[in-house]
Amino acid sequence: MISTPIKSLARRRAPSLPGLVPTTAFSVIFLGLVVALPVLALVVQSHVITPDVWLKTLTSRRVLAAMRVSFGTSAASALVTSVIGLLLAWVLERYRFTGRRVLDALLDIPLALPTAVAGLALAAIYAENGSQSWLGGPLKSIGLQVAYTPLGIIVAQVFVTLPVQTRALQPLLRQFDSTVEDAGIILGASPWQRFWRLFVPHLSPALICGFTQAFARALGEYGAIIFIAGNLPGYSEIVPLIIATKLEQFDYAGASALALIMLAISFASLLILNLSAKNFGNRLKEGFL
Amino acid sequence: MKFDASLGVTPEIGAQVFVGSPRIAIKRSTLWFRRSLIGLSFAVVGVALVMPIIAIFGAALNHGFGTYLSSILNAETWGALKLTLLTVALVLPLNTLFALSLAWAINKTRVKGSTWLLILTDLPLTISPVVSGLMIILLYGQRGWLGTQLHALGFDVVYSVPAVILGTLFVTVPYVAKQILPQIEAQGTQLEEAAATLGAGGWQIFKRVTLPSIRLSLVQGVILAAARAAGEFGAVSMVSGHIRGLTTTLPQHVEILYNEYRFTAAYSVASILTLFAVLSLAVKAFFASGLEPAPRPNDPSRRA
Amino acid sequence: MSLAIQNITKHYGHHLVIENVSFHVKEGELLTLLGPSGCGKSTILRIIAGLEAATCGHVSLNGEDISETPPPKREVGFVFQNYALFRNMTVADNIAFGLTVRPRKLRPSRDQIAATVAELLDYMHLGEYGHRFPEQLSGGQKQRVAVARALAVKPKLLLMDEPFSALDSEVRRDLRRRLKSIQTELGITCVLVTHDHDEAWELSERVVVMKAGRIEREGKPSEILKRPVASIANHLFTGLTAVPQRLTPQL
Repeated sequence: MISTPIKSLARRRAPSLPGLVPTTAFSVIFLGLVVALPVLALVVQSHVITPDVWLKTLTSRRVLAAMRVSFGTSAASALVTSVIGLLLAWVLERYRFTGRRVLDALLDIPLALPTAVAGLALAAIYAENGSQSWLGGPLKSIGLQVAYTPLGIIVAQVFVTLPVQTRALQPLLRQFDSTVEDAGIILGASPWQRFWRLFVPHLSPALICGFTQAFARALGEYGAIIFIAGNLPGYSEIVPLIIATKLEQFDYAGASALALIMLAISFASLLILNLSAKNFGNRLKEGFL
Repeated sequence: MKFDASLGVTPEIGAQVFVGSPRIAIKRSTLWFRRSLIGLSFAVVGVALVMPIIAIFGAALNHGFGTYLSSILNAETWGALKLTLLTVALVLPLNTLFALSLAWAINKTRVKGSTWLLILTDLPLTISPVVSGLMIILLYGQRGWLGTQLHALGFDVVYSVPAVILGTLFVTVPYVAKQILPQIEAQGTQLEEAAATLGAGGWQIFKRVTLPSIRLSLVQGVILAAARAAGEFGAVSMVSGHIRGLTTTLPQHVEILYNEYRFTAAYSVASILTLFAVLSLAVKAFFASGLEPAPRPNDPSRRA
Repeated sequence: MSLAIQNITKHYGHHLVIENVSFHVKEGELLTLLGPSGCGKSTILRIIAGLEAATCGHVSLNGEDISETPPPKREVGFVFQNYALFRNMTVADNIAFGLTVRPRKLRPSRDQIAATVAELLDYMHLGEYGHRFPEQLSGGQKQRVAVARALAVKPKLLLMDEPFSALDSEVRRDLRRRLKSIQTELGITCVLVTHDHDEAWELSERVVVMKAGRIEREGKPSEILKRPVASIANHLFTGLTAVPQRLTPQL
């Protein structure tokens, strides 16, 4: 750690605008109280959790099954939303058509709609019988059962994370240098060749970020999933639900153990996101939310 | 010279200069490719995003408008609505204040360690709401850190309204900030510095230069944060006492109704939240600055 | 390859950008389109390349009408103002790009491509930069890569859209001379677009002066300077350009 250059850096970057202290103080205190403290409370819990609790939690068949379900569905849904996200971002940023603004606005639905409401809606759509079945019946007749299965979980996760990849890709597509594409055209590249050799490398930071973010979001999702998944232990039960159940049974240690694992994954995904944003020097943080 | 402006097909080679020339065949395939992509996009968004909204209203109105109204207009729903509104009213100003402070500290005055502040701000986004709720309980619960102190003072935070507010606060911290930070960063400090040289004080600069420049993103951020705060479910489920009419928010209320097999009632209450969400989106779209105008007709970036 | 432009007119919506422009370029000749920003000269270049289509008019290469031919088939090379290099590829890959995207049957072998790339790197004095990435290069070096990339596919016509405007004057002069020698050596027909008067006089056999979408004057540099058009006279007498010695009028 070099101290002198940092000192001169600080001097050079002395604020010319007032208000540094009050705003920083407020921000730090706010973040400290509202975000850091709760996180710390959980992290400190790890001391309280005895090794046998860890062992019991992590070797429980039910927990392991839930982990498989959660990770599997999250990865699958992140993949699906990445593909859909690429399609939507492409269409929104490169074409002109009536309804373009509407399409873009519709993408925010998962951000505004409460997860519980989403869960309820999906339950209604994919229920197999009853007066309100929309897609459930027809899908069942072709052998696809959505409700009460991991497929239902994936559907719920896709709903919740749909805008993520699109928003991550849109700024990058917008800033793509059109003369570079022209050069590709003139040099004889076909549309596919241009897509794979020019666009995909340019978009890859956003693709990675979008996938990671969608994965993390899907992993932690609760409200949208529990109404459609059926929550059958060992089959369609997700980790957040197990944490909630343990909490209801006052098994704080067990709940914390699982929560710590989820927290570690959150941190890891944040690191990946921040690192790739820095590495490629793109302003991807616009597309983060 | 005819070209289909509504589909963004530009006067490309052959398409309009020489109508009827063999090149039209090739251009048509690009046209159809585009059309199908656009159609596919609408289909996907329609099924994935719009259908659920319609389904809510469909299920709510399943047994007629009268049943719908009676499901909404009762004491329990009203209590839940009040709690939801209270939560939003408390959480929004705090988060907005924070977002503005953070934006100023990071971008206008270049405080060091901003990366950590940003990471902390982003953190709630990546944490499962269930885990967030657990954190609140661990902190404020009767055996928690602050909880034990508060209990001694006679305050029981968890399983009561304050817990709901704290949980929602945690979850919505990033929302306003993420909307305004990119724009503030992109704008730099030139305008504010100019104002400073002209003799304006800190607060004046903020009020008359900075704030107006981020008006749109601020409004959008606040709207999204409000929708999120009203709809928070996972974290609140953990910390609320599920005491009907007292500590249930609207989403809680919906869940309770659903678990009691009172489906129509559940969907009816859900429709209130859905309406709120749709309205928020409409207002946000009205203030839209996010989507740039599409490429000009002859902008090169309109191949395939 | 000779180039002929006939009656090119271009609208953007209701906006008339180019009005009835015609000129021709002889084989091996370097023609400059000179004019202020916004006069439509870049658009003409893009129309010749096939990146945009004219509202009406024809473009012919060697007597053959290519107005409907898609850009890759026109065998035209294009050098952009901002270089338009592929950021994710090395210099060598950039230069080789036009060759590597050819369909299998027409594609040269790996060795042949490598040889061509090496030859061009050498020719453009970029010897050790083959495996560097564009962002590691200076402006002048990037432009040389852009030229090499365009030349790799052996175009019949070379189009250059303000290729030197983003560079500083030393580099500009240097590259100008190099470009001229390349052009004469290879005998390649070239259309250069610029707003820099010095460039026009120094490099081209013929100059087409444009303003507001129309041709004002056309001819050899010496002819134009003898009786300059208003816009050029303006430019000359505000001292922004160094009038070549031999043409200094007795003022």
